[in-house]
Amino acid sequence: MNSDRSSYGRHLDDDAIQGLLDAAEGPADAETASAHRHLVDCPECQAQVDAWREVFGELGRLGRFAPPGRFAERVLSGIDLPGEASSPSRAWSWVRLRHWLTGRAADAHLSRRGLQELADGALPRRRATLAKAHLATCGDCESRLAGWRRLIATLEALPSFAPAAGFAERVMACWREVTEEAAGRSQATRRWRLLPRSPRGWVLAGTLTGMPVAAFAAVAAFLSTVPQLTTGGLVTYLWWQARDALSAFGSSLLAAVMQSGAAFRAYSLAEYLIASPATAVAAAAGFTTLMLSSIWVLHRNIGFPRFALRHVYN
Amino acid sequence: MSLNYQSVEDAQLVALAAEGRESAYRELLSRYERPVFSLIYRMVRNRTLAEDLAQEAFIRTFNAIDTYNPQYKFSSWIFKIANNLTIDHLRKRRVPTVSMHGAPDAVTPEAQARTSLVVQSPGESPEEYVQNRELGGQIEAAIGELREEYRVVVLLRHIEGHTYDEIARIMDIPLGTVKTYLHRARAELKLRLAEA
Repeated sequence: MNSDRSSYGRHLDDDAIQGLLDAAEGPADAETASAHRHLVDCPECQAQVDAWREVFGELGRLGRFAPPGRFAERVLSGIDLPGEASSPSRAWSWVRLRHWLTGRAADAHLSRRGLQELADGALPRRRATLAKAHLATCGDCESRLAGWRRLIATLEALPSFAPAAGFAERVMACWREVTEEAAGRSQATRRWRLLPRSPRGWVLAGTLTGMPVAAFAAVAAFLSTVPQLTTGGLVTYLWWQARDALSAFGSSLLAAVMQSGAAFRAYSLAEYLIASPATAVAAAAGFTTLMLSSIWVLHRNIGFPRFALRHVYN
Repeated sequence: MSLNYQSVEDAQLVALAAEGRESAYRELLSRYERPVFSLIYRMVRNRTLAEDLAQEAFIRTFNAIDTYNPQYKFSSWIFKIANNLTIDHLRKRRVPTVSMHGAPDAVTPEAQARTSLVVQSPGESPEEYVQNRELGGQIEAAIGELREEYRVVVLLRHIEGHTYDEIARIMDIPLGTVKTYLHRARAELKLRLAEA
């Protein structure tokens, strides 16, 4: 390329020609218009322009080179990903160490397991990031991943089935039946609950009930050895003692009742009711209603438990 | 004031059911009858049997409702009961198989002919027709050919949408085993679908 041409009036130099080609896309200024006028009359400069245009064309056709496979992973290992506990570089080192130990290259294809977990969204975040970086450069892994994604989508599109009509009613009816049976069994069990359930329990219960009987028998045996004491005399003595004790208890109870304020109020109330028969009838009706209600409540809640969940299985 | 059970969460419904409210039981039943039935149906591949097992699973769940631990999801619990029941049934039902080509010790063609089974096709019953229509697709057939454990993990993961941890809890197996089962199951499915 000739560079000794310095004037647009005579010949265009290299800078002028490059400037002319660079400015070909943009609006023409006065200098460019002058250069174009010169080129019309100068085949030598036109040849130079053509040569430069060829160079420009070659440069424009240059393609892009892809970075090596591990480039993206190296970049990712140098940045802190949000939500990661340890640094990515350390994780990357661990991955490389594992690959070295297992004899696999760090940029090896993704495993079937890894691809499945990635497609299923179950791959841990760090591994998913590394896998995606590999997928960006590996069409083979990308197409295998698409296969797993298709399978998972097919599975997830499967319908759910409904049982036959009336299923819920049948379950509820059956469950009620089972519950009532269990409640019945539970009541039957409760009736026998007071009885001992083991041989040890029976021995204990026998001892407790037998001791008073044995004590009584021992006293009777001792008394029978005393010659002055007859059976008839003993019975008469015990009868007198019991009668005196009962009489003393009755007297003290009567005295306590008669002297209490409650007895006085009850007497006043009875006098009042006798004086007005209508009030007496109303009071009797109220008392009867209250008694019947109480009996009904006891009957419903103690005699026949309405709802009792029991484990019938297990 | 009447309670709108449809807007109540599972854990609360269970608490209400434990108090003896029948409506709470009904709501739980309406929420889970389809998922539980679907799982069992795909496992046993027989509608009548699946309904019986699903009914049994619900009764067991309801009877044990006061032992439910609200720390875990109710869905995991009921699926665990349904899965155990189904697996138990499948294991009990398993009987020694006889080859259609004759007894194993039959060496001569005559002995083989004498001990071989002749299967006659009596035609489809209405129930079989429904089953074939529902489970006759390629993917359903492929699922049906998986071994029981693989089938359960695939169904729980991809149809019921449970997490790996929940599946581990439902099946009482370690998390790593769940992953292994899932990978193998999906690999088998892919292979079978490719062969079909």
